[in-house]
This record gives sequence, structure tokens and C-alpha cells, in this order.
Amino acid sequence: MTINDKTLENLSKLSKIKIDDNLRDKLKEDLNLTMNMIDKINKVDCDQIEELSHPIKDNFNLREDVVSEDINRESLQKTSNKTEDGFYLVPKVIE
Amino acid sequence: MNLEILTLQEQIDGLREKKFSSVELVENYISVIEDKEDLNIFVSNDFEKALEKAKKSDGSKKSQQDVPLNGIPMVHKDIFCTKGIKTSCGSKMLDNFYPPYSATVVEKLEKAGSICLGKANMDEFAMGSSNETSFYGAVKNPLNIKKTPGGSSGGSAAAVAANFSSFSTGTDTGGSIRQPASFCGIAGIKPTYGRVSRYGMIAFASSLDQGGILAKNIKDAAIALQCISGYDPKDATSIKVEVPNFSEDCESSEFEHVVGLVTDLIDSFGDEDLSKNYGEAIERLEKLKIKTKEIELPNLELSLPVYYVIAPAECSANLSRYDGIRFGYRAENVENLEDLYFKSRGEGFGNETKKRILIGTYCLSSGFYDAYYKKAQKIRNLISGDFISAFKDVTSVMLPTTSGEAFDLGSITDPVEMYKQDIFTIPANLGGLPATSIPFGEKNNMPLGIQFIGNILEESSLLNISNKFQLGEK
Repeated sequence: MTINDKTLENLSKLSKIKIDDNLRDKLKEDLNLTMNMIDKINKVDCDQIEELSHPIKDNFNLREDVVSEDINRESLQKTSNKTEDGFYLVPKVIE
Repeated sequence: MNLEILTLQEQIDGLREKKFSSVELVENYISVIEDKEDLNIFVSNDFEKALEKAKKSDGSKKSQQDVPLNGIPMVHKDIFCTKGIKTSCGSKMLDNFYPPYSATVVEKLEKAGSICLGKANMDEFAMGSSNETSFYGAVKNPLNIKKTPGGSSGGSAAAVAANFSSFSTGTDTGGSIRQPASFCGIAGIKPTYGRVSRYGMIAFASSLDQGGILAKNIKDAAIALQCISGYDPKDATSIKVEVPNFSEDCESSEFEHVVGLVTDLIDSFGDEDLSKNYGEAIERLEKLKIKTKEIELPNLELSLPVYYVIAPAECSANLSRYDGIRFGYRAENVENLEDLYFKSRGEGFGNETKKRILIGTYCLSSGFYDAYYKKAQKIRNLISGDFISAFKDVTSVMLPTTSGEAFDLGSITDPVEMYKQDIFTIPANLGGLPATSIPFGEKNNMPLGIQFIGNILEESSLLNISNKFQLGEK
């Protein structure tokens, strides 16, 4: 089994997702089924092949590094329900 | 007059000739939508504003050229940000999200004069092939309510099939426009990666995601695609090229076609119905006197495992932005900052989304990066190369859209069985290629679809062959 309890715990920590205990077994089963399907790629010999990370080659359209519009802090912060004086509020991090 | 059954082209003509008004169109649609609420297609609607806009459209003096879709009602997939209107992406995480800006696709369609009636339900963060992963529950297929409409743009496809609008927007990362189009008996197009701006389109897998159109037929899809295409400085991956006249090209007699076929590959699946429908599609091409040529796509079957490394890897990075702080769901009763992250993400994401983030995290984690992510990108190059070779000899490739018809809601519980839904649609995303789905054939009284895949930026030729195929013999 590729993904056991220990791996799942590590993935939970890396991705910062709390996993409920009642979900663990089903999740492990599904993840292992998926990884078994993915493992087919290990049988392919492609050492000499280059990686393709982007489907359209040589498409670089960088714009000028200038301010194009005002960013309105107030309207952007409306999407959060915990702000104060233009800051986002989080639980205390410094004692 | 049942205005809701008209095609987009018929509505454009009818409005221009003043056979009916935009207000009448909108009112017609609202009554249909209210009648069919139990299909669960809309996540939110804005009927009042739609009627207001329709009144304005009816009095507009702007020319057809300036506002080609003046007064035409439409539906957006709830993945496109709409300023001040809830944009949930089918997730509890964004159930309270009212974007401070609109997606470029939304702005372009507004500028073209169209009127948004509502936002369509979808699989959570576009991760799903049946619409069942939505926080708001599955959409029902209007052709048979026991069946799935497909996914992830299931609400958008169902909206067109149920006559909620003549066209809708969708997005396609591994088949999310084409598969639901096929399941609902309508047409769909995923253009070339970079043809349509991704600005304001909530990200799933950035190197694969592409916005597109679902419509009653290919001609209508071409008209709407024209309005959303084009370079956008707000999206560095959008392509800086002129947009051809898709609706004219769609019906042009100038295009020469050679359609690539993969008969042996289709037969190798050992599914008689699949082979039979593919064979009948070839017969239609022959009757239309369109040249064909057998080609090879030797790595097609590797598309599935490659996709399920690359898409989750990109999604695990993209979805890291949901931290419970700046926007989206925020968990209560937390002990510290770390706990806020863990609980907000644990409670805000649904199971399929969690699964994909975990798979992506695994494939990108130390020690596995080369074996999975790097390897998948190499095979992606092989698959893309198969198409590059094919397009030396052919102008498009014909494949089935899906291996079968729409399945019963709740009938597929094995994740890999569900992922196999996309075996024929994923290759186009891996190569960034434009592709359409057209209704063709049926099984168990449900529609099937045929897919055409075109070369990069060759939407005109692709729409042309798709339209010819859809119209059939004259």
C-alpha cells in the first residue's frame, strides 16, 4: 500500500487539511486506488524526453511593470469578515 | 411563441427584426427556470437585474457590430467571478464569496450586450465528472432526471438542454465542457489554451484550464466563442493573436478537411456500442465526402495517469490560497493560527477536493517529485507529440467524446471508474488543443457525443468540420 496512516498524516500536515477520523479509511482506500492507476507511468521509458509544463511554447506576453489600476483595499477586504484598520485579523501568533 | 427553444442565431435575428423583445425573452426564460427548479441547475440568480438590463437593451441604439449579443440572456458557470454576485465554484469554501471584480469572460459578454440570468451549479472547484461533488448537490440531467448531466460544467450543459438559455459558459480542464455537452445532447467547444482569458476564472489546474462555450449547436457556439476570445493583458498565458471570424468561418466552403481516425484504438476497448457509434460517425464523414486518414495515437491511454498527476499537483498549489483569512470559509473556535488553517480547509473543502489536493501534495513531495510530477510532464510531451505528428497529415482528429451515455446519479463510487470518464477528452487539454463535442448517436435513450480535436489556434477549421458533421447530409 502506497499511502498508509503515516503517509496520510504527513500529507494532512503538508496540505494543512484536517482529516476527520471517520474519513481516514475511505480516503486511504481511494488514494491508493488512484495511485495504483497513476503508477502505470512508471513502466514508460522516457528518460530522453523533455518535460512539457506548458502546452503553448514561446508564448511570453509580459506586460509593462506599471500600476494599471488602483487596488481598493476596502473593497478587497470586504471578502473577509475579520479585519480592523485595514489589517486582517488572525489568532495571536506572538505571546 | 416558445422563445426559449430558439437557437442563439434565431434569437439574434428575432430581436433585430423586432419579432420579440429582450424583455419577452428574459420573462420567458424566468418562467421556464422557475418551473424546473428541481433540476438544481442554478446556484444563484439575478432576475431583477436581468429584466432591468433587458429593458435597456430593447431601447439601445447601438449597432449589431458593437453589441452582437444585445439583449440575449445567458448563464455563467459559477467558476467565473461576477462582481458583487456570489461566486461559489460549487464549494462551501466560497459559499460566502462576493468577488470584488469580474472575470474577463464576464466583462466581454456584458460588453457584447448579453444578459446573465444566473450562475450554474458545478462540481466543487471543477473537480468531478458527474456534478455530484458540488456543495449544493448534484444537477439532474434534464433528459432523464435519474441521470447525471456530466461534469464539471454540468449545470451549464443542463441549462442549455433544459432551455434556461441558448448558450452558457463553461470551463474544461480534462473534459468538463465536452463530457457534459455529450451527456445532455448539446454542442460544446473548448478552445486552444490561451485563446480565452483565464482572468477571474477560479483556478483548478492552471496549465490545463480553459474557458469555453456550451450551446444548442456549433454555429451558436461559434458566435458566443467569438465574443469571449482574445488576448488579455491580465492573463500572461493568453495568446496575442487576432481572433478570426468564427461564425463566418464555421459556415465557409473554403476549408479543406482531412479527418484523422483511430479505428483500431477504439476497437481495442472491446466495447461494441462504442465501435458501432464511431463507425457510424465515419460513415457520415464518407457521405459528406470528407477525406479521412487512419492515424496513430500510441500514448492516448497514458493520458489518464498523466492527468491525475499534473492536475492534482497544480490544484494543490492553486488551492493553497484558501487559508480562511482573506476570503472564503473561516472556521470558528480555533486554538491558534495553524488550527485556523487546518480547520478552515478541513471543513471548507469537500471530499473530492481534499483527495485531489492530497494526491497532488504526494506527487510533489520530497522524494516523489521526479518519479511522478517530472515523469508525468515527460509523458505529457509524448502525448502532445503524437498530435503534432498527426497534424502533419490531418486537419483534425475524430474521437468519441465519452465511452458511454450519461450514467445514473450515485452509480459510480470507485474514484478511478469516475476518472475514466475523461479518457478521450483529457488528451486535448494536455496538448492545449481546441476540441468540440457534437451530439451523435444514442444509447439507452440517452445521447452520445462525437469529438473533433483541432490543431493549436485552428478553431476556424475545427468549427467548420464540426458544423458540417452536425448538419450532416444536405
